[in-house]
Amino acid sequence: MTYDLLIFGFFPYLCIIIAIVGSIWRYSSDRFSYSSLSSQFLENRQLFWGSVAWHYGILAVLTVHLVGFLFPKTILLWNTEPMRLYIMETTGFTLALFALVGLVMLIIRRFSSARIRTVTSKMDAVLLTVLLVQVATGVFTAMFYRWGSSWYAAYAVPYLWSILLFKPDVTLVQNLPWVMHVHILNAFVMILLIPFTRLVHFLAVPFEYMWRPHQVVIWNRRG
Amino acid sequence: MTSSLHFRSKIPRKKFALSFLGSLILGLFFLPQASLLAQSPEDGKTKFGMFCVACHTIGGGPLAGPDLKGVTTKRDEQWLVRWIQEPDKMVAEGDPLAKQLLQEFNNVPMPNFGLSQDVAKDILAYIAAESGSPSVESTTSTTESTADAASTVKSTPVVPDPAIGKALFIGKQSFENGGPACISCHSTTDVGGLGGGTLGPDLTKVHTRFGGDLGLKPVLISLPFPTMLGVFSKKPVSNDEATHLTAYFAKTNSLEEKASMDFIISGISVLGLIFLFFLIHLIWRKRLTGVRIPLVGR
Repeated sequence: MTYDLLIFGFFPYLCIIIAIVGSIWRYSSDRFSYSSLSSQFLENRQLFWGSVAWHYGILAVLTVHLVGFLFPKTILLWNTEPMRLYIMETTGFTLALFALVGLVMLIIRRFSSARIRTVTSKMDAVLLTVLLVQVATGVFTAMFYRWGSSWYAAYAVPYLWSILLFKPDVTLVQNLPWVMHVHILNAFVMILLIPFTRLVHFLAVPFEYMWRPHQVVIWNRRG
Repeated sequence: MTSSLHFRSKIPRKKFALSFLGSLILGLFFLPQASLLAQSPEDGKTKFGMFCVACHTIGGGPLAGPDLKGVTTKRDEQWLVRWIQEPDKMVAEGDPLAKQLLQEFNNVPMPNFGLSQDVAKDILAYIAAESGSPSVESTTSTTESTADAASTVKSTPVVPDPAIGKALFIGKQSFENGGPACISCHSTTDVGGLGGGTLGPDLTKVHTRFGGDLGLKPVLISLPFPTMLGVFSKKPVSNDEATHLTAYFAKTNSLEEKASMDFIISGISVLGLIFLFFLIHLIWRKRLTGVRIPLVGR
């Protein structure tokens, strides 16, 4: 019980607080490091497949997590018709696979290309591991503990709200399978890592990219 | 190499350590006043109402589990305390009495609720006290605690309707207290399509497993399973809903449990994945006809 309380009732606050303080500190002390440190110049072909699949996959999956978090009843209402539930789940699972395959491609690229390895830090390795664990446990859950969209709205969402409202209710999640425990705790580790890794670029969402003219980036001499 | 690339400046270690420490202290300050787990062991009656009443009575006859009137005099206290705390382990270890009880009660295992020794003793104290009183009173008080625990007992009986049970199971009809539909985590062969959820067990044959109407209905009302308690203790299934669900499960009982749908769902998703890769190739096909690669070779 105490153990559950510590990991589900205290650990999330620790991660969130460090992430907030860390992000503010990084912004005030090292503003121009708010970047994903593009490596497109160094390798472009593999990047296309990995980056596009990863980013579109994970953004879609995260958006549904966010909608479920903000409006859990809409998800439950949508799922009242089994056919709609199946559409939601298979679409979500496909997008999760899209993200997973993209991420694996990016990891392979990062460690197989000598040029990319040069600009890879230890924290990049840590971040990629955490992201891989997160997506892999998510995919596993979606496949073997169906139907996640419904029970996420019924179990995990009230737990997340209880954290947000400073009244953590660990009874909602303490008896879920351990894969789910890893998924939940690792999510908080991911938040913790935001200010200390290139994940910080997620705080500078490039909405502007949607309407700004495209840019052509060229080498002006061979490096 | 031209450098439109910039590299992250190294984080000064001292500053890092200081801010880390600061955050830690802040974290301790904000340690929430946890209204977390109902751990207080003071009230055996309440705990009985929460964990035991779905399957047991004290003098009211057996349900899914035995009538517990006089059990504290019949069995050794240490055995009872351990049985309440970890029935699953005792069965696994091959305790003869545990195995006999399991067999006697249709192989419906008693769930391990992770109760503390104090709670187990409180429950036993309550059973002992109740067993001492005349059996009519015991029955009344048990019925009361059922009502307390599930706030569900209604005076007018409903006609069991398996169609309503199915609607509740698949979610077409919502539970009146807001609990999620069974299909979120459970399946029955009757569901069809891609089936129901797999977080919890398949319920096609639950009617037999829990000993028919008499055993199953109280379980559906209090749902005394550790994972479910988190939600259903606050949003209990009503008496009428349990009646319809029991009728539905009585109907599905004749079906065989369906084979796993894992393969079909993975297949659909892998096809979707291939489609998505093809789609991004199409959307960004112009990436292959730029000027840079033909000019500089990369």
